[in-house]
Amino acid sequence: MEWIKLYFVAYRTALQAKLEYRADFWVGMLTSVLLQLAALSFLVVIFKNAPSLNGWTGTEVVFLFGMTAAALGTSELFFNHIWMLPQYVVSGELDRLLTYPVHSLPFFLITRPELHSFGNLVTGSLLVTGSLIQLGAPLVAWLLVPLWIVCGSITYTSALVVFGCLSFRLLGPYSHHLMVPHNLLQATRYPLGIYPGWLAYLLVLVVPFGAFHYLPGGFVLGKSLAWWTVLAPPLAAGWGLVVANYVWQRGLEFYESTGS
Amino acid sequence: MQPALETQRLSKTYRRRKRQPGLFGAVRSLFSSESTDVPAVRELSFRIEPGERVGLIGENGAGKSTTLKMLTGILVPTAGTLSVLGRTPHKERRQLSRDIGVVFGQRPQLLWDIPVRETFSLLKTMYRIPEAVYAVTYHEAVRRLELTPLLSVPVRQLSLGQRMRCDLAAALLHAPRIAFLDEPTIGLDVSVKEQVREFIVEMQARFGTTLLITTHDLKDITETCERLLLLDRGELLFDGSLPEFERRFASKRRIVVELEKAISEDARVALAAELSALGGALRVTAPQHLTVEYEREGAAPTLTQVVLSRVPVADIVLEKADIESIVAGIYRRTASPIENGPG
Amino acid sequence: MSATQSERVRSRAALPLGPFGDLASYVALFVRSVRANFAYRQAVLTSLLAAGISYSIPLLVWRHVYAASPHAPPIPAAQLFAYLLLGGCLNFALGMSVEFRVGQRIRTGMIATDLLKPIDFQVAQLSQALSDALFNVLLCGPIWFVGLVTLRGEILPASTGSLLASLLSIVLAFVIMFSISFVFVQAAFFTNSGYGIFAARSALQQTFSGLSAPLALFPWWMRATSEWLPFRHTIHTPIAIYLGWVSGGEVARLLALQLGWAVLLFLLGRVILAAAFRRLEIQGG
Repeated sequence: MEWIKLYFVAYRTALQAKLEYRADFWVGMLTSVLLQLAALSFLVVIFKNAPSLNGWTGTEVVFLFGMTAAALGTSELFFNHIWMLPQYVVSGELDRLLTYPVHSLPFFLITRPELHSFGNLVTGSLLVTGSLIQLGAPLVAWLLVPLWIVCGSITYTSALVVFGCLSFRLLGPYSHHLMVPHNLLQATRYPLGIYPGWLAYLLVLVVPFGAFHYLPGGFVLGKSLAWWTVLAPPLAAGWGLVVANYVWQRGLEFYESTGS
Repeated sequence: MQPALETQRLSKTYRRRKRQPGLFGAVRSLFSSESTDVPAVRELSFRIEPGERVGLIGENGAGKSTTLKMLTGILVPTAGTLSVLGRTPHKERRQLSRDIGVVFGQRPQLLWDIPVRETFSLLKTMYRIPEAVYAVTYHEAVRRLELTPLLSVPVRQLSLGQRMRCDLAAALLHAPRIAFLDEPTIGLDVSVKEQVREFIVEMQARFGTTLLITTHDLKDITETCERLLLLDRGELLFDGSLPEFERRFASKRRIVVELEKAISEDARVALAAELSALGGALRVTAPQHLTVEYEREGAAPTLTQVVLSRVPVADIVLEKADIESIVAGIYRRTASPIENGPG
Repeated sequence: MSATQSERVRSRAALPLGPFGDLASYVALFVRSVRANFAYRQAVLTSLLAAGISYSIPLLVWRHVYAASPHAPPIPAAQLFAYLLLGGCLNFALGMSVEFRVGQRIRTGMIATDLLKPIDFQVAQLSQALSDALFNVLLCGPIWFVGLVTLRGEILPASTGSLLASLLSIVLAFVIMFSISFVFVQAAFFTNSGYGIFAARSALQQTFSGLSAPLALFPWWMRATSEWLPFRHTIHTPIAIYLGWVSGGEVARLLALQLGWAVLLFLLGRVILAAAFRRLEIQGG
């Protein structure tokens, strides 16, 4: 229980510090909403030219959009520090963290929340709510969706950690490689059926971003009869946690600090 | 008794990617990944008992920080074994961290953009510091290091020196059994350095902390330590007490004599001959000033007697090189042709 | 800052067009920047991978639309894919770090010393951006080749004339893109959020440039909006000229429009910077 309190205190203090930049909060909020709108505008273009995508109607795809944005926002809200990892590895700024009596990975992740996360979270939640209402989704969907979002954000963060750990070997202060999982997540805004088979399997089994909304969403929205897909989100999140933790521990062995 | 820390043939080698110069080289390095091995620490073996106060010195690139980072579990050694309080640091980092305190003077890094006071209270939760201990360490730190005006300032707004003081306080807040202080006085002005040293000495005395300090400022060592480790290009050149160090390396000693009046050339020649037979070299530095240089330990009484009996002495001073000039002398002698490698 | 110094800075910052005389120093800056770019080995490769994923998504979505729908959109599939591939390349080539580079200098206050240097700040930034762009173009080569293998003739320029005109159009697109970024980054005088500035610009760019679909496939209201904005001239205009979707007088009209936007936005950036800097001086920041 002690550790829950510690993480809570650490997170609260970090968030409090961030919120002091009030202007940045609004800029971040506004721009992430803008980016979501930009993505939606493509959806508008697509559905002007096609009635449905792989059997998913516009509203159903909006559900996927919303889930993706909400999971992204949750990850940015709680686990955003991973984006700083490459820079820290090069400048040797992990030293101090490694001398603290805490699990270094979760403690590291939560100590720098990102303000534009609120924009993504709000947009995502609104899109999900709106689409579920429009689709007349069953009660069970309403109950499960928040859990799926949490699982999705864990899955996504795990992938970020795995990619971020590449910085332990390939030195360089750039975080471009973190854009790979970020962009793969964006790919799951569309029903995976439109992709070539290998890519769809990749997004379900290896980098399981499709597991927290596309798979179970298909069941709850009545597109597939595979009831077991509602178990996919926690499975994917668990798989992510295991891999991320392993890679992080291995990565730290390669950490070279800065010498001096 | 179990040592506070012990290393055996501890080594660390860094791998550095080769960079080719120029545009062409840059293009080539897109496709090749040649790398070179840079040894930072070579077969280091030493043992420190609980409560010892040890200074680790050496030039830039001698491997001081690398050693410290291996001892704190941040770096994984390439070869050799080490144990800190009976644990292997890089394998049991978290268990060990409660018992050690660390300061990196080069990069004071309290992780957050939050006020110092909140950082301290977070550390209190993190290390589960008992109220009784916290009351002592916190108040001593605030009083000794004059932190009161800094407590409500976010860490990022502090100057390097201020940050350094806060970092030191943070590192000792949980009264660790071992404190690793990597250049704890770097970039501080003289009066603050003094404050920092006093604080270190006091906390050490109060809690019996084992101290391992690396520094470039030898006053840090002479004022806080009793034992010295000298690293040179990753190898241990000396390990022993401060007096031993001086005995070993301070070869030149000197008797400085002030005369009541100048002496004749004949008297000088006679004195020089007599002294040189006893191992002393006479030099006249001014009409009324003489110095006698010698190396053999224990020669001073005889040499002084000879001088006193032959010439009219107004004053006499025995000198030996201070630790700073000894170390400078060692560095000069061993100076490597190329300055490189991580420290 | 002394009075005479600030006087000098003010007069420089207020100049509508900087001195192009000191070409050598801009060239040196350019070369250094290219070299630094090459050093970012893994960053380059991974950003290429990330960009590849991001640009593939609309392509794959369109591919599915064409495969599934009997009522195909008004543009032939091969043409659309050629457009998307080229548009993706162009957007990648123009994707620049002006926001981050200049933004950082503004936030750290280094901008003040930059403006004191004997070279024009905006032109210096332009030359660095040019190096970014040319380096990225190099990386786009293989992608164009993949397009050539899969789409055959569709990815070639419609004619020599359209090739030449599109090259001119691409240069103008570069200046427009740079100038837009330069205008946006001035917001760094007011906010710490470098990401915010970048994201705001790129959201508009994504929506209105025609990056993920030619304007012809837009709903009317989106098409109408993009007509009034400069963003379409960074992607849609050059590619449409290249593929020969427009010809003759229309090409000339588009090039003139691009030129107009380029000059307007470039000057706008100067004016805003000068104003922001004057404000900075008054505040003594």
